Amino acid sequence: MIRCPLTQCLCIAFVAAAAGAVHGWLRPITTWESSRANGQAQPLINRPDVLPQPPTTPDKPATPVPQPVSPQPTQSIVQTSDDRMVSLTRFKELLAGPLPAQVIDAREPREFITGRIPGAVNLPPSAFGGGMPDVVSTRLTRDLPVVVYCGGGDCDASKYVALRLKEFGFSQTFVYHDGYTGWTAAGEGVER
Amino acid sequence: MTCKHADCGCGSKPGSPACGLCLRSGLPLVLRVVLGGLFVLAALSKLDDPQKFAFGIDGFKLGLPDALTRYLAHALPWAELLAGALLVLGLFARGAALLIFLMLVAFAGGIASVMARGIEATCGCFGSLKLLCGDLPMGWCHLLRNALMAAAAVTIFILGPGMGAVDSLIRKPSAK
Repeated sequence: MIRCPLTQCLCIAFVAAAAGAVHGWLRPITTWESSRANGQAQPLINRPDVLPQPPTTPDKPATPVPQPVSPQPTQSIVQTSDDRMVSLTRFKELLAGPLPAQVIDAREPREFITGRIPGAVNLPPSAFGGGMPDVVSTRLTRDLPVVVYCGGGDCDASKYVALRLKEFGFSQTFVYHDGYTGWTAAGEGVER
Repeated sequence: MTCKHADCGCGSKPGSPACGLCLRSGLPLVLRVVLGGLFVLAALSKLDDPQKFAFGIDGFKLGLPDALTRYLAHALPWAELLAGALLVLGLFARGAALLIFLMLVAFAGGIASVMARGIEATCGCFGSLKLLCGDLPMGWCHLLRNALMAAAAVTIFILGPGMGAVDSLIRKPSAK
């Protein structure tokens, strides 16, 4: 029986460290930095909850027909490490492109309802509790680019959502760096 | 290594009034269950989605290497789970309380650093659970919460595990 508190503390810490290492080996995680270093995360094509072709909902009848993305030097959406974070200009280019980007608001619902970028779908990190959120299968299309934003600055919610969407087969995910704050500061219109 | 707190399971000499008083007291038991339970809850919510916790750590913008961030995202919840569960059981209670206190000090340092730099970070403290400070941005509420939990950990460390602890049950035969 270990009686000294310090020894007990060290023993617990050691076991936790070992458990953490095993857990990390069994269930590796992807951070924003590691995904940049290792290339884009692979889609989880074998996940049963990942639908091959998401249905179109009645409230979004004008979903553009997915088309194969051809290499276009002037309007490429192929991502490099730098391309994942987009500026307002690049964001607008993606919205106006031949395959218009879908916009995801990664802020919490209480912020979303006070104002959002027009057309944005609310998908906060908390929605990714277990498996794929319903909104992903009902409101989003994998063949189109996705731009995720949150409050602004170097916020992490948008990066988290972008990476999770990547796991669910969204191959073209971007993060709008300046977020909602940057959008409104630029005088762009908002939807309430 | 010698240990000065191994005698009574209470931090006091066996048979002393202070030892008897704290062993009878339910305060350590209540503190153990509440504090340990909170840590178990926090750990389970983080273990459910380590990636989200890794982003929470990233949000502190401490400049940690990416590999360390990923490791901490896995190891910290396990430390919380083990320490919390042992505290509830009252097994290695002082060691668990010490570890929890050290973690709380580290967390408080991170929170203070975020506040000092004016970074708007989300607290991944309880994962997807919105306990205590809920959705509030990282700030004084979180520091106060940490201080209260640290005080509870210190109390357990000083008074010992109290009633219903496995530590006490194990040590009773040897104390005779």
